[in-house]
Amino acid sequence: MFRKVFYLLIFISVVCCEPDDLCASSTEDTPDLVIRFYDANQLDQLKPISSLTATGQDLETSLVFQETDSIALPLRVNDNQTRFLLVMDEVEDVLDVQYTTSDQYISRGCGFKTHFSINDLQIKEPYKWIESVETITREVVHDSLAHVKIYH
Amino acid sequence: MLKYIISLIFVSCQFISAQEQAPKTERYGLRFGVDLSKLIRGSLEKEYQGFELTTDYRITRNLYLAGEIGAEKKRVTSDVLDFKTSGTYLKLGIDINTYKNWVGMENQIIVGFRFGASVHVQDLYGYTINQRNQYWGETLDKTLTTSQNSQDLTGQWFEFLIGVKAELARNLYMGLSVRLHHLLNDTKPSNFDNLYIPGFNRVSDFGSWGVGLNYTLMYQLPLYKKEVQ
Repeated sequence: MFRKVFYLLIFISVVCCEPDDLCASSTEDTPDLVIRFYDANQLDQLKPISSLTATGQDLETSLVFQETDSIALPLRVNDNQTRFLLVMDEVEDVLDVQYTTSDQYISRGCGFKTHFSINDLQIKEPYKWIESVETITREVVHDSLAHVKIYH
Repeated sequence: MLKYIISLIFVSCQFISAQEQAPKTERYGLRFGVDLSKLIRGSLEKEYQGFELTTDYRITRNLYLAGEIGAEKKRVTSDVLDFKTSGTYLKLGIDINTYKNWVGMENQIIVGFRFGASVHVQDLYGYTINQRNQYWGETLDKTLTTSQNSQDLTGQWFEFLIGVKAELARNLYMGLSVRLHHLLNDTKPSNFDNLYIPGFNRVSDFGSWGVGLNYTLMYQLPLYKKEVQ
């Protein structure tokens, strides 16, 4: 009996290893800036874009969006500003976002995420295909809700 | 082999007691010792240092007051975090011996519990930003130029344990126990968490359960003998 318990304890202590902490894909990460598109003539009506290309400043790859009324743009976490060139039907508008960042703890497996607090968001003058822009919320904390409305 | 030695001791004890007609007695005393597992772990794990003193006091035939006091320092470097926790802890509780010894032997199979409490500090040295859309190709690992230091952190927990203690030589005991920890309460650092608590060990993301192990060498200071009823 005594020896059985002793061996059992040895067995438990050898087998009982540390579990890996994985980051579940359902966990909220650093939020993207979410933009919804509205009709400039009927302000409360969503107006999907047929095809839009968003290119980050100085980047060569683009994010392409088609037939949608909302897009999500990743902001730079190591800087306080992000610029995107938004091209629709070969017409280009420039979106400038200035913000302050704060890093928030998520979990052992996921690390931290960045929250953004927008100080200034504007389309560079003169506006081309965009009619006007409106910031719904300055706090970019979740990416399940829209932060910006663009009327076109 | 052990079986034969045990039976030999058993037989000789019977023989002696039959001869002398002496009353059967058991020794009561204070045992104290050191947890070897923490010293071993310290020599194997680069970023770990730990020391634990352990004690128990026999109250009745199968009941012991038991406790541990210790200090630990652990730096954890994972894919997404780099931090160090250091502090001290105290555990107090009860051990119950469930093993019926043959005459003259003093081994124990123990079930017991502890309440544990720690006071510790934590330094966060760096972390990784979780951004799944890595469009900008930025470096997401951040090293803090001055570590984020959190003072006055605490943890309180409950431990359930099973273990054995065997007398190696007169008054010298070796013990092994495995423990299940359940965190009851803790003071967390702001914008971070207690991911390692001295005495509690690693705190996982999933619930507030942890596991521990101790492997002790104890010396008994015999105080008095008591006749077995």
